[in-house]
Amino acid sequence: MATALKRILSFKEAPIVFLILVVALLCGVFVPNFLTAANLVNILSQSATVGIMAIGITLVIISGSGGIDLSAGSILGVSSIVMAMTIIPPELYRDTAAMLVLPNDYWVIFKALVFCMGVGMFCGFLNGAMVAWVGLPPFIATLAMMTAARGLAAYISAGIPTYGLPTSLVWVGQNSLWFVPVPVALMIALAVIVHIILTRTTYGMSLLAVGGNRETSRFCGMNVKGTLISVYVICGLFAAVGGVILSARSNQAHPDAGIGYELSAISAAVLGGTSMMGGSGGVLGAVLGAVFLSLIQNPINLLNIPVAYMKPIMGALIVIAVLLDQWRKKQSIGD
Amino acid sequence: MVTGSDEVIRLRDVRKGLYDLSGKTLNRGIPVLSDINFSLAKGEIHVLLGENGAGKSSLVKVICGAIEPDQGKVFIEGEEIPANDPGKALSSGVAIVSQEFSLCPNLTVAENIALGREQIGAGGFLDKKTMLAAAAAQLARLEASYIDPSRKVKRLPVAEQQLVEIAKALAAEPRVLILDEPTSALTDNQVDMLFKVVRLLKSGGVSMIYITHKLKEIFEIGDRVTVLRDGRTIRTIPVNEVADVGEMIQMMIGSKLENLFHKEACPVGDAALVVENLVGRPGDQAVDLVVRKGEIVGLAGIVGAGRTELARMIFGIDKYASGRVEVFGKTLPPGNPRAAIAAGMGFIPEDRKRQGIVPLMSVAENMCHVSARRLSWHGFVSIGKRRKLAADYVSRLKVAAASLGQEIRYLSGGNQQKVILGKWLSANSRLLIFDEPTRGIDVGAKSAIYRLMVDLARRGAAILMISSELQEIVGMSDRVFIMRNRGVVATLEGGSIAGDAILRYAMGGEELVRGS
Repeated sequence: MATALKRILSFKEAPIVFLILVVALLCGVFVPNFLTAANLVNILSQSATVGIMAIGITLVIISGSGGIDLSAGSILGVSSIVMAMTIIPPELYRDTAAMLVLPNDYWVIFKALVFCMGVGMFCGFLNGAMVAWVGLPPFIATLAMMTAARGLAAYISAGIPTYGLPTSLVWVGQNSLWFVPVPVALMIALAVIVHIILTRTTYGMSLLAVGGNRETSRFCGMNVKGTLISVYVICGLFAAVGGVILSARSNQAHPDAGIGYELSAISAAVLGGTSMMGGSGGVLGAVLGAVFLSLIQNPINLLNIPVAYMKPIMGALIVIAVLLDQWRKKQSIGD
Repeated sequence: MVTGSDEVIRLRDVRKGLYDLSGKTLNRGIPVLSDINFSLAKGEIHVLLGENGAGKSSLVKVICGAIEPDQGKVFIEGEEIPANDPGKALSSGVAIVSQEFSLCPNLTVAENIALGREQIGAGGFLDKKTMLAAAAAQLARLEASYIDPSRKVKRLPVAEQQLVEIAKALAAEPRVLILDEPTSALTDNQVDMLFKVVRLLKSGGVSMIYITHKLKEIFEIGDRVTVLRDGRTIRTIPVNEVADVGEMIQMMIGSKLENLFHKEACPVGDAALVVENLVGRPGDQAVDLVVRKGEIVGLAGIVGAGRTELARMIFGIDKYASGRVEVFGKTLPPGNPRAAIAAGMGFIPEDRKRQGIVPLMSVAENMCHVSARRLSWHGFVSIGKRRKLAADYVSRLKVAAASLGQEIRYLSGGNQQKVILGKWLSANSRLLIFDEPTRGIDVGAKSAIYRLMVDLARRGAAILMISSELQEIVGMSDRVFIMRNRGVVATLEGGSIAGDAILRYAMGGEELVRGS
């Protein structure tokens, strides 16, 4: 028994899985209509945007020395605006407040996606350059980017949200592959890919080493600055992907989209067992953390509870998750 | 000579094991101090002398109450000091000017001097005027009135910071003043000034403990000298009874040379490392140095002589102003550790925790940080190959670990050191820089590390070893370069390698010896 428990505790995802099960059980018993397939699928769908952002942010946090990306929400905003404006003809963009009906021009959509992700990666690259080359603390560098990117989104869209994207793009946000919603499938696929990169490749090893001890990594001849820049680029890319999904789900591009999402994503990463000290963590946990955040949001919607009651509980749960994780680490030291 | 009533400080049979930054004992089995008996008389200047790591700073920390002894007692003016209570030491009038500055760089000179004794003026606000005046008065005592008390400390050059540090200690009007290498950053003029103040304080009845590496200072201001070696007080004698410098050096290094080193002569091959005219910062002396295959070359000197800095430049961690580094016939680009590694160089750094290991990663992962590329297929790590290689080196180097997957931070220092060594060996490094290879390692593991080094030399590896332990340098080196003030001052070879000669050059005592 004790060894089985120890084995379970050796997984850093154990606390978040435990929390998800506890909350799901409580909701299943006390909240009507919770345990329906539609509702559970809905919970997963709602977690996708934050979940995908959390994957990128987890890598940034792992990179250590205060690694954090506060700009992910703003990058989501600016990249989704860029996507929408590539698709929508300029003469239509500012004229109409009505829902647009646009043709599925695949070449245009492809271009829009490339621009969208390009903008995300470029913003991420600037973050990385400020951190690795200029030497700014990540908090400051990404705080600046958060402000700048949000301003850029407002500028190029003139502050106007656009409704009505091509149906093939909306499909990404609202349809399912068999019974799995596309955003969820995307989140799972990206998490698995990044998990493999983090645990099975030389790149992943150098990222963990750079985050765990930057000096040692230099002495081992690793490309420390390149690694640092790369995680911010990946984080920017994943924020842009999050932007595509959010736009597609809501069938609109809004310059204020994603405000505060970076904090949810950071919470998800921490809930998933990633240490803010860097050097350890995992993206599977981050995705579970995002699922958990959307899970505890769910009964509020179902029972019409005022949000004001739930937010303090969310705060407390984050603390509990971190305490659980610290306890887990102490327990698994034994061997 | 010294009667009990004159005694200001007395340490009786003090013992302290290896401790961490907070002063907590980590390992009672590795004593940093043992059987320490020490006394300080009223109005006396008592010099502490010893090699790096002999226990001088630890002894002083015990007196200040910064670390708590495992055994033994500390008395200040006949009164026993309760364990670990620096406040008590301070209220008994003990002040310290420590080697590592304790100034707050963002506060002004006056604020630093007044720290902990701030004057509160009208309305509960700090009385800046009084504070500035008091600071100016203290600086005037050191004839350092040219230092502006309202400047921030971080804007001052090191020598002036040192003077502020001393002024701060004096401001407490201590009855016991501890000076831990106070002159290492000062110019000759400033040193003269300091000595004037020291003599003045002494005539005012202040007792002083004076730690130095500069032998001539002992004769200039010392009353008694206590020699420390390996954490023990070897002898205390009045300075005027010291016959010559050689006698003191002999006491510092001792005569015992344990057969710990397993040193053997190995066939020497071509040059592995050639350093030509290497100048770190403009104004430094140019360094020339050669290490050949099969050789173990020692790099000796006191702390701050520039040994680690030199090694870091050779390896490409830091850049240099001018000069050339050649490894196995290839000239290395400056500031590029990857090129150094590719050329066959490896570095076992002095600070294992900060520079040698990634604490959260496993033994196997730490073992493969340098050879990761070789163990991978298109960027994917072959877990099997990694395990095999790690297992191979764990058994070859006899690393004691619970498993290959165990996080390296749970290993002992000696075993961590073996993993770091394995990391370079598995990457085929044939020129290894060892920086303090056995610091903080127990005797058994030390011996194992020495055996591995000799074994490497026998197989044709070239080794450059930085060490502050004289016995280690003498016991292991085929040749020794001695550094002082960021330059090489002497090279010893074969039979001329001896502890006293090395110390003399390292401490700048060669002129004194020739004189006497």
